[in-house]
Amino acid sequence: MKRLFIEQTVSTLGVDFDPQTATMILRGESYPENAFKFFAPLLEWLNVFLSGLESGVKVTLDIDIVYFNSSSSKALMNVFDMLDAAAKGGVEASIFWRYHVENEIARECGEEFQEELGHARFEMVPYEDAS
Amino acid sequence: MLNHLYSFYEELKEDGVMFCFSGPTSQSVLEGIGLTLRRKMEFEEAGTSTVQRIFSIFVEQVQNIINYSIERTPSETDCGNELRHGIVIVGRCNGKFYVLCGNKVSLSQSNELLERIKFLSTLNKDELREHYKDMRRRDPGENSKGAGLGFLEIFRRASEPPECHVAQIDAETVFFSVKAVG
Repeated sequence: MKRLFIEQTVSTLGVDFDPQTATMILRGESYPENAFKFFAPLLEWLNVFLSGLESGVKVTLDIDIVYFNSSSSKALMNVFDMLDAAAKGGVEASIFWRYHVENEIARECGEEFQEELGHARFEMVPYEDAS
Repeated sequence: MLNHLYSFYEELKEDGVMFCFSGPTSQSVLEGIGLTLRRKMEFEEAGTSTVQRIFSIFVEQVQNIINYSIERTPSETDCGNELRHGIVIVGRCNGKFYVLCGNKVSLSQSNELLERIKFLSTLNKDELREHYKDMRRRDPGENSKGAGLGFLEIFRRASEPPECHVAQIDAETVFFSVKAVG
């Protein structure tokens, strides 16, 4: 399976999904003109990747999104739902939601995703400016 | 216009207008104004969460124009890459930032929006939060190009319930304006 790498732009996320390390990274901001179009290849990649995993395998989704618009929110929910379903099936799925301590909205949004999941581990990871 | 431009400029400034854009709107207009808007608010030392709230309202409002305005170039086709027209104003009044947007929609779209806004106005912050989580899991309506969550997001980020105004243009068309304060 190929690594999925997409360069970050002003309004779209930087993506690095690596099947070798089972680590998926999302960085930046998400308010594209068409969120469904942007997220479609991500969801497709995840679908193939997760369906080929055996029970007990560890996968990590590492997210640091400063801002996302409402249609991206729906697409992200789909991403988390896929991991949650995989976790229900025995995969050890962990999601790390990184946010700047001063970014109140990013914290709230993380909590609102966290509440929706029943199986995957969803950890809130606050950070401060690097000194 | 030439002779009045300065007075127009001063008038906007007196009204606290930071940005005023009118015409064909696109994702690149959104990104360009958005970046400058953030820098401007940071210079004015607005807190991180104020900047984020205003930016969020701004994005949803402008994407509403891009997705739903019925005034477009070229005018007759729905080719997918047509430009949609509208007006976007960002300003500051009594120390609070606001985003004011308007565009043409059909009378039926306008009536649907009014119903939606009326309903959202009855919800408090916690109810808006629950409604948002609920809507996010539903399929978007057939007329929706986004996730159908745009107005809900604006309501959640605004510090007071957004206001709207409808100006009748002809029997089928209206100009729909929304003002949200951050």
